[in-house]
Amino acid sequence: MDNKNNNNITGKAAELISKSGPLVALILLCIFLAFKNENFFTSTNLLNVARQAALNGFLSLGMMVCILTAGIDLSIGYTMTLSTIIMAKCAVEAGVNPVLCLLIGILTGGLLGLVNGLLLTKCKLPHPFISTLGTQNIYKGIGLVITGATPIAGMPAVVKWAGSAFLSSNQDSFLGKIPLSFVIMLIVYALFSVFLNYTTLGRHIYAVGGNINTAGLSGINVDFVRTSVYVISGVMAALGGIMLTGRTDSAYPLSGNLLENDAIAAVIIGGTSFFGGKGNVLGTFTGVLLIAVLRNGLNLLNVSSDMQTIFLGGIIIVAVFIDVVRGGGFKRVKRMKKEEKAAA
Amino acid sequence: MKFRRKMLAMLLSGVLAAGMLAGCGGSGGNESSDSGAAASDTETDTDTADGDADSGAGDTSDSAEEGKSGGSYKITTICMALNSDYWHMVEAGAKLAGKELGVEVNVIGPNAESDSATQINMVEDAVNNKVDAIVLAANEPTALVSAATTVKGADIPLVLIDTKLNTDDESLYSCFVGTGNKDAGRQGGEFIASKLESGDKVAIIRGTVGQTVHDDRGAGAEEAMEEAGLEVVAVQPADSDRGKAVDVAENIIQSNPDIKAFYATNDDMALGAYQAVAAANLTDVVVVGFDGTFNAMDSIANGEMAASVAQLPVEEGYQGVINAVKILDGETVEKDQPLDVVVLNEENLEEFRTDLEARIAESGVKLGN
Repeated sequence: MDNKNNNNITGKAAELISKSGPLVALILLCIFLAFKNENFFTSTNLLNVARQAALNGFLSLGMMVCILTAGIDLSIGYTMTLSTIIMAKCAVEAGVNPVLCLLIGILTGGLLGLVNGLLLTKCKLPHPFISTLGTQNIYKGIGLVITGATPIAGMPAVVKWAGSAFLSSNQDSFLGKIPLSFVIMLIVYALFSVFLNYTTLGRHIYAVGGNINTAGLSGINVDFVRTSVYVISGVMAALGGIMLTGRTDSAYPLSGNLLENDAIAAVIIGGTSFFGGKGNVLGTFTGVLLIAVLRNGLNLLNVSSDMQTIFLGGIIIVAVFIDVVRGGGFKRVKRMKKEEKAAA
Repeated sequence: MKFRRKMLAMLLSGVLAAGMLAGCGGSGGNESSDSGAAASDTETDTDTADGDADSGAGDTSDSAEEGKSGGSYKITTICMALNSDYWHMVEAGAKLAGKELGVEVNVIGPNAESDSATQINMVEDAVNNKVDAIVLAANEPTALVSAATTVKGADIPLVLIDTKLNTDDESLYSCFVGTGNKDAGRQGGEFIASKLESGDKVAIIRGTVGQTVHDDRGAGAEEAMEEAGLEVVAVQPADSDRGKAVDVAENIIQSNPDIKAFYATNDDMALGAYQAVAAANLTDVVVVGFDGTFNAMDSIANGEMAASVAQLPVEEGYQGVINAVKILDGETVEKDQPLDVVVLNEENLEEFRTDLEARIAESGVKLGN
């Protein structure tokens, strides 16, 4: 009895440490940077980081729901690009009502995501890696064709608003320094937390990721769930695109290049299992912040971007290693040993 | 029980490793600039003291002069990317100017020229790092306008090099140093035209479609060659990659065996095109590249490539920093400062190269090859 209690406490401690691993790394990184550069721990810089995190924040959320079902969305960067291009075309060249343009952008993202989902569930392509690798190139190409490979600039104020505005127009007040894009991101993250934990579809996403066969046998419409996550991913990409468009006042055809890398990195660092079924919004949020702080901090220290890439890679490996230690790997080894014993 | 303990140990070591990585990561990368930063720290301190005293006296130009003598300016140069010889030459020029004037110059840039979001972040981070001036080679003339607005909002002088921003608002930058890529491309096209006869077939191999630099370099040459009566039979992208350029050039030679010239929008692609030309045993094909890299200079010296359009990257970085310091010292500078373009060929190569190597050696920057 005593022994069991003891076990529980150790287990809980282990659980706590492993769950907060990325958070600990984030805090250590912040402390390190605060000592290393006097301009890091200033409100302007931290809010600057918040603004820079918004784009990857949205993409990572979309990526996360895909990975939760043991899938992946490699097209997320160019889904973003294509939805911004179509939004910009409507706004700048066709003169469509700007609010409608925003909706068109989001709708485009959702449709592009739907294509990804249908390729997977209706065309039965074996793995979303393949379907989204294909659409990544297709979306990129369509974007280049539509724009004639030149950027579209001069967005109406409404389209730029979400990505460029601050909470208050008074720049000297505290609210005037908080980027709207970050606040929207926080709200969307909160909504997602509720969505994943308390709605049927949200729980089904975990179930499908945990074990697709069991999920199917227990009456979950697996195809619907798997298609939905790519639609969600597309919508998130479009939202990220709206933020980027606001920041750059333009939609340009190569804007999505390699953005999927940072999104996958944030999700993985945040503790989402690559094999699906496990992961949470808070973890992804931490992952997004960790990457944003890392890049910002290393920029402040004038570390070359080549070196930054190496650090990011290292952090991904360590984060996944923690994930292996935490659950999957060791438990599986234990189970296998048990089965061996039973067989003998 | 035993297993649990083992797991906990592994966990802890994992977290520690993460922490260490974050810790040693930063310090490792900072090694090179550590001593510089330490030295400049004290300088910055005295500078703020100067600034305070002067603002009391209400004379700003005074403080600028003192700043110069103290060598306390912090200038960040942000390249389109730091992934090629070209940008390392810009880096060399900027560092050389920093050495000569005794100012601290940091040179950074994203991993790829197409990565505009990262470049915008770098500009914002430099502003937050309270640098005195920013020298920028924008990798997306439209997208970086917003970053320039941020710089202006912080009252930091912005010197543009290499590429102009796509804006009519001239107040966004203090001055521009560089050749338009389009004009430089024109000169490359004119060189080819001077070697060929009207009606000859030429092809253009260009960088990634959608990258403004390559759009301009290609368009300039195309215009010049068409004006000279040459027939441009193909304009095809090879994504600035030597291997892809070989394939592209081979295909063009297949469909146009009587091709007379290849113009590529960077030297790597020109070298690739030359490979294809040599493999097809064509002897009279003029191959012209762009950038004037060392590989290309070797090739020209060996009588392979005919020429390379050199935009003087060292001079670009050098003038960028020189102008930034002038502006900080309160001097007025020309808003538009065109730089010469040299079409490097066997005649002017030797002198150009000696001079270039001397300046790079002096700057202390090591190039890749």
